Amino acid sequence: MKTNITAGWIILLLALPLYAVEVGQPAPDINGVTLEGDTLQLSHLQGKVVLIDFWASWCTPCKQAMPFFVEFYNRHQSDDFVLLSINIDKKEKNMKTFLDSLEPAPTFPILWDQQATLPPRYELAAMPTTYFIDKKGIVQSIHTGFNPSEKAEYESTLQRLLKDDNQ
Amino acid sequence: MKTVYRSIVLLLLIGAPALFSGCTRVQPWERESLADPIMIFDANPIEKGIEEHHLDYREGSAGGTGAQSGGCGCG
Repeated sequence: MKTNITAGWIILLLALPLYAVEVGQPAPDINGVTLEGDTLQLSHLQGKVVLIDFWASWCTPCKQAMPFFVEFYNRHQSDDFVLLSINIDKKEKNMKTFLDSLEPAPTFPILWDQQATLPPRYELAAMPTTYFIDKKGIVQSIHTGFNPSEKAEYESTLQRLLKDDNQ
Repeated sequence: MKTVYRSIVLLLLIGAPALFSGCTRVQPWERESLADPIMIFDANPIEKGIEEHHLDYREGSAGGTGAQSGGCGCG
């Protein structure tokens, strides 16, 4: 009996990391209202490639990545592509001060997740973390941190997912 | 002897949760306060940050002095 209980606990502890979002799994749904006041639901974006970016104004690499994402989104705005930006700042002022400093200003949808309810569902390993979701809503790529040398990787991943019409 | 052993085990089982209840992993999305420059262990944290930035440029190096202001510890 004791052995069974111990084994049960060990299995439970080992199984915990399996709940983290992984490549090949459906992306957990996201509901919210953007800063522009539009209702947004991730599951309604099927048929488009979605890049989800979790960021905060207190995270230096997140801020370094943002001008690239603005440019990346503007360049691919006419494609079947949506960049969904999720901010987890506690204070709205901190988020808005940073967004106002960006030139050009971001035009992609931004969700303010003040209570940080979404990161635990995606089990973020670090900040920032980005997820490429294919046209069927399946996670195809997970990227943690940001390095300017990785810009080409974002481009090639997007091109691959846009071309893949069989998804 | 067996009773003493059982008592020690029981004491550890009861005491361990009390000892380790304060130990928890701070998740990446919970590091807003820790990422504040004021968390730099120095009398003048803001000036220290500027000094480190200059040092990084002068020596072509980065890191090794702390992980403040970067959620993933790489900022």
